[in-house]
Amino acid sequence: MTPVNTAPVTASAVGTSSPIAWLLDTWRLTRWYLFAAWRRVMSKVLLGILLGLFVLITGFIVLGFVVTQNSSTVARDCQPVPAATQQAGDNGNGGQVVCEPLSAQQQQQIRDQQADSIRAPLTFPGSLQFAGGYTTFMGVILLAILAGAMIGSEFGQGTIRLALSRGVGRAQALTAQVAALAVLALGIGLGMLLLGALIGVTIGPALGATLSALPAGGVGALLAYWLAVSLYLFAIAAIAFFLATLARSTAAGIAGPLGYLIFELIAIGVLSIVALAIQGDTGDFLRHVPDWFLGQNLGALTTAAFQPLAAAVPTIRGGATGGGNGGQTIGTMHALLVSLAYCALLVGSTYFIMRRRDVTD
Amino acid sequence: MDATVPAQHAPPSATTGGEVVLRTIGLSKQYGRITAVNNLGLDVRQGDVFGLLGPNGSGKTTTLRMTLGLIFPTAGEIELFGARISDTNHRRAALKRIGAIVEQPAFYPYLSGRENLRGVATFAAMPSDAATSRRVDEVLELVGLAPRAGDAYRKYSLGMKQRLGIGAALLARPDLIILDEPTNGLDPAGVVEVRALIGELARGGTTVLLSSHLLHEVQQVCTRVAILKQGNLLAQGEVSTLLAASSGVLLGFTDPAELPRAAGVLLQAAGSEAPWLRGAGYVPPEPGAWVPPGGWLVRADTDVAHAAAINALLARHGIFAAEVRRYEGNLEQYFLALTGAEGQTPAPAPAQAAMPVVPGASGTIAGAIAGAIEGGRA
Repeated sequence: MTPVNTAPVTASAVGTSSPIAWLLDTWRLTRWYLFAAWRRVMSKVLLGILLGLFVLITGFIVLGFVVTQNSSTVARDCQPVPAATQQAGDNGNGGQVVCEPLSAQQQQQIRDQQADSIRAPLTFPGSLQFAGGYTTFMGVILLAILAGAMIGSEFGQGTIRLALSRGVGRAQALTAQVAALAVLALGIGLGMLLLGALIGVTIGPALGATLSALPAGGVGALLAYWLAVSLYLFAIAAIAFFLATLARSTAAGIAGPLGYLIFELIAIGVLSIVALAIQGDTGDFLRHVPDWFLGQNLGALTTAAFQPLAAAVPTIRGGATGGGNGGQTIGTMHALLVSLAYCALLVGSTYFIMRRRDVTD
Repeated sequence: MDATVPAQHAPPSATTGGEVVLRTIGLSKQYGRITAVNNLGLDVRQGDVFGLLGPNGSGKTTTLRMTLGLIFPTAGEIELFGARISDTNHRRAALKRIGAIVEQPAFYPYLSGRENLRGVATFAAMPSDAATSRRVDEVLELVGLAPRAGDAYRKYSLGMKQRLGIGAALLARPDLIILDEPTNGLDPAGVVEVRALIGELARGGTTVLLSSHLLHEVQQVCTRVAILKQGNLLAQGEVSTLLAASSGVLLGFTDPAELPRAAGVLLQAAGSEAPWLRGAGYVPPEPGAWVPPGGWLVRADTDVAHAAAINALLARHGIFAAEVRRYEGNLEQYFLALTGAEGQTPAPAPAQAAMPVVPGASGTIAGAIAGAIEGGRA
């Protein structure tokens, strides 16, 4: 037999009782979970989808810009004409509309407005909002899938046993998983916003846009927007984390957050209709129920976080604030607190479930 | 594995006086109405190769899972390295001194064998340095997976998966190694290598807790065993002691009519004039051995030193054995007699077949033979 040193050595393996040692061990676990996530084929496929679709949408916008700029027809200025002066062009409803031919200057002005509107998402800092909006939709879906698979497979494949039976504490394993999801959320948020910034300073100017200077406190606003987008990603991933652990299943981890987002959409629609029909105090109450939905608050938070930067975007300067629902505005602090409360509830519940649960196949 | 060892590996010497590495005190686990483990008290001492035996569903794996902190006991306590693991800090520290595979090994299927072992090193809080990398390669070499170390785990055969599981258990050079059915999926050569490996670990001072229903394997490698049935501890002790208890004297007769008479005399004497006699029973002769006209032999359960006294006892009743020889018990027979063994299919022992066990008198050798005699009289 191959000579093997089988003498027990334990000194290096024991003694992780200090908080710093615990944190260092947890960080090593976090890195391990990130490594394991990255080595999945699924991760690369999802990243490819995320980036590919973003590039595709950007390409469509550029194409739309080129088509618009090369179009020879520009909408004419059409106005209703009083009956006494009707000459031609009955609008079919009894009245008449007369379309005045536009001057070359007016046509150019309209073209410029259209160009501004189309290239705004490709021009910094509007491109950040474009990237952020894309990330809080497509990025959220894809991260929810990855998180569900990551956490659910720990139970499905039994690899959670591998960690727990080696002395990794339950709280430590969960902390490492949460930290891995947070790093993923921050990384995806940062990556997508950097991509948005890159597009904003290259494609926008290439299409003739003029870059606006960041408003005062712009760097802080950029940071806040990045954190808001990342929180959006993390909060939805936390639903996957909770459900995958609760059901010990990848399917639950993936379907849960997506199902929740769909539920929110449907619930908001139904509540609006019912609130309209009922009116009064009950109607008012129902209209405000979505103010406590996670997605609504996350949306409101990201929109609010972008507001300081919006002043530098010509097309949305002075535009709407807040994610809101049905025209209602959710306050920034409300949105932040509700979002954080959801995250704390989801992570805390997961820990509570795992604290005394038997880990079996 | 590239080990070359003799096919028959002698069990390591027992170290019965060692410090208790694992102790369970009144350990119980209840799943609803089902009692998986009932008031279990085990003592695994340093240097033991301890066999945990029992039919399927006897509570072996549940006990191991409780030991590893994967499931929580309903009642009772577990002590590892002298302290109770209900203390979370101690449990974490103690588990870092244990290497284990419980049931089938679980690894990340898309990672290679080497990457999976690095993950185990992370879980075991081994430092991320060159020494750990060397240890990973050393273990891969030891379990014969070095040539396939870069392949994804999902591409491994069942035997290779089992080898990686054993490698993971050995990685951190633990003080206690827990192996649950470690030879599952291994070919005969692999089984021999695992057996040799266990012996080598024990000689190196590592305590091994081996759960298996391969009794022949256990008998060859274990110094002490515990036998479970339906969550209850039926027996615990040194293998040599248990085997001595199941050894005896075989008696052959030329007159088949003397078989039940001899058995009856021995059973009666067991309770009175021959207290050293634990019981008696019918045993089929070994293949190729002399076959008495009755087709069966009578076994007297006692130390072989009492062979002459048995002969004299039978002679006093006018029964004369044509052959008297020593009977070596084995763990399988002991196990089957103890557990009743109905519906169980343990691995065949090389020599003796099991003594017939009569329903209603299960669990004791004396009960079995009493039933057999009744059957003969009828």
